[in-house]
Amino acid sequence: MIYKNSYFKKELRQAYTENKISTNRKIAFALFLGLFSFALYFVFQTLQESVLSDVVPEIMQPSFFSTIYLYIHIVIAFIISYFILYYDYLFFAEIRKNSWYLLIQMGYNPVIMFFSKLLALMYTVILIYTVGFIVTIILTFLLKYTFILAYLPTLYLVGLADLLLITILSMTFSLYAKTVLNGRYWTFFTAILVFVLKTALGQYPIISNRVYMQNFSTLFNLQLSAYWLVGSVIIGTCGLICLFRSRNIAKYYNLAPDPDILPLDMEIVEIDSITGKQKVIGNKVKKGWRGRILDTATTLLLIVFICIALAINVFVIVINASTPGQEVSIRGVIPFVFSSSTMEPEIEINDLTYFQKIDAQYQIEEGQIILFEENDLLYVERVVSKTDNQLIVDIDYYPPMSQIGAMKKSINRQAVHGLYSGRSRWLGALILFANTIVGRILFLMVPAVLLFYQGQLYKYFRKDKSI
Amino acid sequence: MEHGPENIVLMENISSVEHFLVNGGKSRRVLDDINLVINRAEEWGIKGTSVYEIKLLLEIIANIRPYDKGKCVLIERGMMRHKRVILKHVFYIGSSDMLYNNMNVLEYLMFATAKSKVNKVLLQEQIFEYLIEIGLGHLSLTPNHMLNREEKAVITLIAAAYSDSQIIVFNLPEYEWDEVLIKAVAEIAKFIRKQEKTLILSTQNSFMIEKACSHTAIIKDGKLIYSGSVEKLRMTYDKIEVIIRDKTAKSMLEKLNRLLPGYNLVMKEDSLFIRSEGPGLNEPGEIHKKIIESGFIPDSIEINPKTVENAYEELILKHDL
Repeated sequence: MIYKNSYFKKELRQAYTENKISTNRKIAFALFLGLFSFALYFVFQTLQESVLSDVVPEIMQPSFFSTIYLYIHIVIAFIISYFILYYDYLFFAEIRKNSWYLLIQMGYNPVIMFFSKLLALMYTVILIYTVGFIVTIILTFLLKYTFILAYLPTLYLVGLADLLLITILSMTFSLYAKTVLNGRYWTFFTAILVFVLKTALGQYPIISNRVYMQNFSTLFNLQLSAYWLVGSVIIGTCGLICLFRSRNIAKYYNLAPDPDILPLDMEIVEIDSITGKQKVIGNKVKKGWRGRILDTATTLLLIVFICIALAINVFVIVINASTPGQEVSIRGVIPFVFSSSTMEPEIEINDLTYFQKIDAQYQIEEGQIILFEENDLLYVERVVSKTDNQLIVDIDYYPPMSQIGAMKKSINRQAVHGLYSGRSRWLGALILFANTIVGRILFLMVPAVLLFYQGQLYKYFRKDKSI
Repeated sequence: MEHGPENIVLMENISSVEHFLVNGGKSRRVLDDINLVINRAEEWGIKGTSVYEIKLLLEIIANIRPYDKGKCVLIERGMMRHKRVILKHVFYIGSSDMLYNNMNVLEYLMFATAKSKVNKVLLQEQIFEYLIEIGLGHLSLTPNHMLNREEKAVITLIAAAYSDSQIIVFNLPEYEWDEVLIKAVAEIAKFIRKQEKTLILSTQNSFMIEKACSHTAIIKDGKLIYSGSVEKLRMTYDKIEVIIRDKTAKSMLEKLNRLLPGYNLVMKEDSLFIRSEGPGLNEPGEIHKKIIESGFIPDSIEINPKTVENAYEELILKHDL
């Protein structure tokens, strides 16, 4: 086999040792993205009767729009992870490592190398995105939703534009990041930057609107949002910055600090022979303080995640353990997941409600919502009238075509356990999610694995860092 | 091959901008008053007591760092005002990170030399055979990410040897070399010399200098204490004439001291080193005869082949006194 690699081919190969493997991995990655988006859509479907349906209806609907909308956001998160993982191969870190220095000495042209790198990365991103997009559409066909072609090109363009913006921004930042670690932070930062830009320029209300998205030209309507104009300017500017900056830094040999060769207990200073001014340029003692801060921050984050996940689990177990007569109360408050729509709009389905525990002497007023027990079951209803020891209760919401007042009944005052004091829609959705299989894995299995294998994980990342 | 001037590096009274600041605020220049002349097609090995000092010297030579005083000329051209700028005539290797990890060794060398006009089939054959010749054939299909830093450095040096640069500066004094790699560097040095190019390397390994270099410079406390041929260094400063290896050598030390006046006898583990103290005493045959006559028959007795390491130690000792 005769090796005849051009720089462009080398770039297409990315982290892999063969072009064919690289292409296969990219396709596999795209398939995974499509499948993951589809699976996530199903997870969201299990939370249909929660606050999410009100807040993000665009991903909860039974339509192609929702699966694709989810995909174009998921792909950004995964492409960013891909960029961070393979930062060394994808961006300009190689100039800092003097790989370009060697190639320029061997006759390569830095401008051609820049364009090859840019094109190869763009091609990779477009390939992964497009294949994943098609996979998501094919999978959605299995759900037999009505196929509406009109919004698909617009959604495709929205996702693609975001990815190209993130790619060019990451490339630009990589030219200024002096270490690979900093470069990886900057890459993560670009995703946040694009999110902030889209929010600030009012892009989300447009792309989450199915009617708007059926019209391709809506995206470029400056009266609705200037995101596309700003995005285009950023892409153009970053392209030029990359070209000139890469050409400029490729002219120089990059001198990386090497604390290992510094003598012990000695500082190296530059002394200006004219002014006598001293500038410290090396000191062995200072080595690694940033690394230690990062290690501590990572460990703290891990601990916080494990603690939160475990706390959620304990909370879910406590709520699920509530039985009539033995309700779990936390400082006099009974948490209760309300799984019915009978008290809408005051309490919505799957809301986490709070009831204040009351004793037998407490004066219940008409109009208050109470938690009471009847035939070993717990009910939540509103007091509509009362006599000495009897309360007449009824639900707030009767479905259409049903007889109003059919659920009205009289209960004994002694059966009342608590008085409604508030609700949390988001915690209700969280508990609902924690009770799903994915929720159990995320909140129980992941922290358990982290807890038991943290030593091995820590060693793995330490090893990776030394590389 | 174009022929330029013979004088490749000319350093006159070079002093570094960098100073060591010792506890208590006293400072001294990292390099002071360095005079060095390097000619075409020579292989220089720079060694010293401080890795930082020798690394800095080669950085100044390669226009990577500025200097404070003196004059430095490369191939009869003055130094650039802009430091670290790529110079076509100087190939600087200051780390082993230049390789691409997603290629194997042969593939990378083919990729690096892709701009040469040579037919690709012939070139690959030539590089592959060259790798075998220098003793690195076993690495030819190894992915770069599986190489250690020293192996990566040698592969970078091979690429540099194929470049058009007249001076190759191999500045990795902190690296530790095994015999296989030293042999490879020595072979590459020969290849570089054949092309009328100059190799300047920094190392703490005396064996590397012995095998790969024609000339050497030694720096101690920021000052150049030797510059010249490796041969001259070995012959002038390695005073050990004979080495005796025997477990009972220590018991014979006193007797041999009496037998060999004018020689200094030093025990190191089971070996006895016999050093000549003055001129005219370097007669290993005479020493051997006297030892045998004394009735002491050691396990092994050998004439010291004169090593750079011994010469270096002697030189440093001399300057310490």
